[in-house]
Amino acid sequence: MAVLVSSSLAIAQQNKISVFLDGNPLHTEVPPVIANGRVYLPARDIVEGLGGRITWFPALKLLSITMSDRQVSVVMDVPEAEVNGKNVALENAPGIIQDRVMIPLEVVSLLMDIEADWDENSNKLSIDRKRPFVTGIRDYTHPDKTRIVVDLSEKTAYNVLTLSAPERVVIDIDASISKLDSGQKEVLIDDLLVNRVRTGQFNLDTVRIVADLKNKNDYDVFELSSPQRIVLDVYAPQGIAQPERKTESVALPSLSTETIPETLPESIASEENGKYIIVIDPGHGGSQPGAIGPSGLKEKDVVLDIALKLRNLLNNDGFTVYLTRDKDVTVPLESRPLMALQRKADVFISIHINSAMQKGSPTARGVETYVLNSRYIGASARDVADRENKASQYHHYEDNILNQIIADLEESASIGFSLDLADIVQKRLVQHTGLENRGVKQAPFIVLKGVNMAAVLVEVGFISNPNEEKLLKTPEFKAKIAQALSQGIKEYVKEMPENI
Amino acid sequence: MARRKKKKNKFFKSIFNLILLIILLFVIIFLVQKFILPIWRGEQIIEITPEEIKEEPAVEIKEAKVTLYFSDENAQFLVPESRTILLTDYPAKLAIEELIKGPDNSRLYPTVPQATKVNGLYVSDRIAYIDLSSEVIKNHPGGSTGELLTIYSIVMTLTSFPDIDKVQLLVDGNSGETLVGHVDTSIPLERDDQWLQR
Repeated sequence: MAVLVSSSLAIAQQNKISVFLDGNPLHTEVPPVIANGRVYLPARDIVEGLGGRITWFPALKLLSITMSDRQVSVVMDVPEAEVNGKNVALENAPGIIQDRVMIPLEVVSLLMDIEADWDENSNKLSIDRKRPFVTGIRDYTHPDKTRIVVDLSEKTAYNVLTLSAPERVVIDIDASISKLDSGQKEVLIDDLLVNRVRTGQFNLDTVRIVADLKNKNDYDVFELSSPQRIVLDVYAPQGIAQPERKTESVALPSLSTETIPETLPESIASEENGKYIIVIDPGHGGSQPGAIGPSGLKEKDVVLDIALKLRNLLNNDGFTVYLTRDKDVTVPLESRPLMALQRKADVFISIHINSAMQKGSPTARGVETYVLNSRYIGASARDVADRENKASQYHHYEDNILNQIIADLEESASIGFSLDLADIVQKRLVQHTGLENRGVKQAPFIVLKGVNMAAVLVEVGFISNPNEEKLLKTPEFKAKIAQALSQGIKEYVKEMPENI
Repeated sequence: MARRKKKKNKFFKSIFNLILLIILLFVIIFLVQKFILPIWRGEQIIEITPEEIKEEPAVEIKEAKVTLYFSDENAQFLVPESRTILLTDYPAKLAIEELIKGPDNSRLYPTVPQATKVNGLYVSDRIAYIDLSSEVIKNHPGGSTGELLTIYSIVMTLTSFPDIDKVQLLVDGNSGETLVGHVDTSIPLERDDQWLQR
């Protein structure tokens, strides 16, 4: 891409530069450029991308940046920055290139503690938050045990839990996987004890390592230092010895079924469903009745009935179910998606009854399902992060900016899941209720914002339509809706991508 | 005697001096107040001559065509309706006042509670800030569809103007969380052609 020479900085002809934040691509309106042998980034894109705020005073050529606890001001073509009131000398001055205010990378490093890496060959700029990294996964098969070693860049906290059906050992480590070779994110071991090891960035701060065990066996997790690492030993049962093997060798042919008694996991449906967490959100409530029908039926009462019926159905199938309200109380809008986040829900479903402004001839009818309008992802994630930080009983975040970026990315990923869920739920609703299909739509709804799971809002009929209001009064019809929702959720969960 | 006269003379001279001093003081105070203080305060002294005060020529009231968006029968889509208005005010503000009045086409439905008033509208940085009276909430029947059509009929109508890209809804001067419990109105909203029938 050719870049013109600007008034304030001389820049070289160059290829497009891509920016990665903690391993994830960052979109910028204009590409970064190299000037004076240094990478310059478009100030607004990078700062807003990091969740900061920018104020530009054209007359003064002054750029003021606010980011969490830091306030940084720079003047164009002046190699100096003011950081929280103190002056810091810069190697390179910020400048105006092609009518854009561009800042050198060193200014970004004044905003947050980062580690930047420039790959000249691929024109890739990687910016990583300074934090512990998982640097490698190794495995060894010994006669008496299988050892899995997780290499770390520094000492960090970790947590171990066991899951059954199938047997798994889960190690959650306070770290990032952005420095882990992608080939190591899934390691096939396939000896007598361990099937494979999967590694993923589970949430903002946590790397989750899942060891899929062949059977329920004793294991041990411990920490070793210099170099820092976490070790998982899975022990062979008494009297069983497995052929020795070191990491990266070809998977051994499975000798196994006679030597180790095969205890197949009891895969009863309910046990499988138990690991899924569903949060049901009956709309409105308390002082907020929602829409009111021509005969006085209130939305808040109908949706609570449906939600309670749905909870029963899902509980009977073994799901873990939470309600944002189980009685007629006022629940603030923004706390509803927060509950789903806090409960680490796999599915969030908000139940509403519709209404339209049609005095005289209320013809609007039917069911529709909403997902979050993808245009509002970034803004809303930052929004929710702000609210979350205010309501700090939920989370304490050390680094808001990065969390916001990750939240943005997680939220955009969740739109895909949400659309899958919406399609199946809408289909079942139309089938079970026989009401008109108004389709799956997108809207900037507060309760769907800032979540990282499949999240939908269903509008099951128009309370403003006398015919549908009549139906919504009957327990049979409400049961039909609950049935449809429960079936839709079950079908979605079955197809759900495995969350490691 | 001569000595006495001299003394009297001296007395008159000092009285005269005192009066002179007082007059001088008044002149200085006057000068400081009138010229030096204003300059020191940064005020400008502008002499207005009568010929500079001219009367503005009477504004010629023009007509303009605006596009309003109303709900279809099933509250599924927004349908555009053209209307010619007299330009007595800022056209975008007039368009919303027309939108509140409701559609001419009898097959279409209004989208904003009719008692709602437009307190004001201003455009900054391509965002229209539209301030509505609280009737937009008080008289609203609720429902996701109802709320979406209210909001997007306003957004679509305003973003039909070339200088408006986004719309920030205000109610009695405040940007609230939502109108009736679904849509996030705390941020400016963009035009969304999802609401137009394809």
